[in-house]
Amino acid sequence: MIEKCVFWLKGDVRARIKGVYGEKIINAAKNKGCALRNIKRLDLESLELETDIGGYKKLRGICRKNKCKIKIVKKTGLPFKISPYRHRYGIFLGILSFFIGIYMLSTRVWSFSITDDGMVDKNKIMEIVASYGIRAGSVKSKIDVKGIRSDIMQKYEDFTFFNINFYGSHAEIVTKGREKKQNVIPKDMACDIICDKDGLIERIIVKEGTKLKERGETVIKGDRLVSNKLMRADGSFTRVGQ
Amino acid sequence: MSIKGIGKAFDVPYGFLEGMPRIEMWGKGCVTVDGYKNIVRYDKDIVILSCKKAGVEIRGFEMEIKALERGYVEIRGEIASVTINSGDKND
Repeated sequence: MIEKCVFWLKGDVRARIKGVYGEKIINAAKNKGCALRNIKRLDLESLELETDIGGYKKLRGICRKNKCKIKIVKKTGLPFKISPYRHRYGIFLGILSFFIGIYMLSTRVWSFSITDDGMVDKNKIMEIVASYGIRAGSVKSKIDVKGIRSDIMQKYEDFTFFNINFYGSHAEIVTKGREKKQNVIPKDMACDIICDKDGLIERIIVKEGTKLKERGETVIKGDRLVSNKLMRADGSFTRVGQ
Repeated sequence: MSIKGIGKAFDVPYGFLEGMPRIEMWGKGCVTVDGYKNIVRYDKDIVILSCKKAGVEIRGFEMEIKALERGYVEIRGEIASVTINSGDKND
């Protein structure tokens, strides 16, 4: 199969040689380095063989020397296909510019996708990436992914992971956001304890503050369970920690 | 030095195979000869090749030279016999 493709690319010529010195011509062609194929004896004076274009040119000279006639029977291959268009430079220019265009376009990034965990806004990610000069049409080879990654990881605390993967002309931005710290109220600050789910109180132990709900009570989301107010002996109120 | 197919079991004196062609038969339909010098005769039913120290005669029917390069020839067809005439240069 590969051999056939090579012959097709080089151009295949089937020629008929007429003359009494068939063997002599074959030997001379072999000595000149022609690769001959499918040599077939037709009759006592003629034989057919296949060779490439260069081989045919050499064979023609040999036949002339030996006073034999050579005639092309069949021509196949790429050189013969393109020879009618050899003066039409526009076609070759078009083909060349097509391949150059394809190559130029394939070295650039044209589309983006973001694979993230939803912690960071996608627009923000795109803005960060664009600030490093990565946008549609950027040349892939000029993007220093390692440098950008380490810079982003140092600059922005929102990310725990950042990477850019290229799939042809598509860039996939993979990010993983950092979980935000919960607002923890300092220990010395007075506050109420509020229920954040519906449920039934099984046990409640209050060390500071005023218990508002008892064991066995049902509560709904937003109910106050423990108040930060403490009642003094004189009936006035004070806050926990004061 | 050893003959192909026999391996090291059969040692040949140095110089014995010098100039001899290497002939391989692939069933009854194909013969390859490596190390020939010239084609002496080519017909549908006979191919005679000359080598440095031997002549090779291939007889058969509807024979074609499938490939021919420097020193190598592949003959296809209905091969009847392959004869090596050693010592005779231009058989």
